[in-house]
Amino acid sequence: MKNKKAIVGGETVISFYKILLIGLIALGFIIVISIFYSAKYDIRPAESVLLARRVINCIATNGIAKLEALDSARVTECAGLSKEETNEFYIKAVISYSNSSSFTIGSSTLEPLCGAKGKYMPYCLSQKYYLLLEQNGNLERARLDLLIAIKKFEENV
Amino acid sequence: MKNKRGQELLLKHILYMIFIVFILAAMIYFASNIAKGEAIRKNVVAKRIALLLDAAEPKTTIAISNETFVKKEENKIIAGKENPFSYSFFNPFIVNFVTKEKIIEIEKKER
Repeated sequence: MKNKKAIVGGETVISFYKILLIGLIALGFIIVISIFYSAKYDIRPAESVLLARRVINCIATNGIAKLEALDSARVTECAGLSKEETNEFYIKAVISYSNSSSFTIGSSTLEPLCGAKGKYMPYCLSQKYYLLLEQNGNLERARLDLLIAIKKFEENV
Repeated sequence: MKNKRGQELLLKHILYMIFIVFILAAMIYFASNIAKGEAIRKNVVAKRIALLLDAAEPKTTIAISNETFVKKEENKIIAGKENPFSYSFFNPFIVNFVTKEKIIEIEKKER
């Protein structure tokens, strides 16, 4: 003889687990979707390349660098950088020729953080350019080492 | 003679299926809502325009074909009216932003 009460009780327990399972699947789906879409879209790599291009154009118009162009105030104005946002980026340019000359713009505290691992770290771009330097009417071979670090954590990370 | 037990079972299964369909619909609605979300759209629009302006040279005209409200304040692009998202750009030239027509014109500075 079948125990009717036990059958009804057993079915209730099984449907409870079924609903719980569906709820868990839905919760997992919501969590995965939220994580995927909450990830911000980091444009700092593209931004650093464009900034490097602007800086290079300011230092060496038509590929020939001039020593007087190696001035932070001049490059800041020429590249259209905002003076209020100097803590958001760092630019270091070192030009090596028979001598050497350099300038920096922005927050120097970002430089040691380049290469460090972690979420809230600046994006750094380091590039070398070989160019000609005009000095006293003579052209000299020179190398430009450019480091660009962009912070902008809140918007990109 | 009606089979009462069978009717109950059928009703239970139908309710269960309605519940599953409801959960699936809610999941799909949630996913599409998040993917097309205002927050993501504002973020993407402001960053794309900022990048375009970072690279823009004089005599460039950029027409924005997007429904999101966009404006320019100093060197920042602001997208959205409520909880706006802003992103700064660098451009040494004159950037004329016509908010109503959503057109950006880049001109050379007069020396």
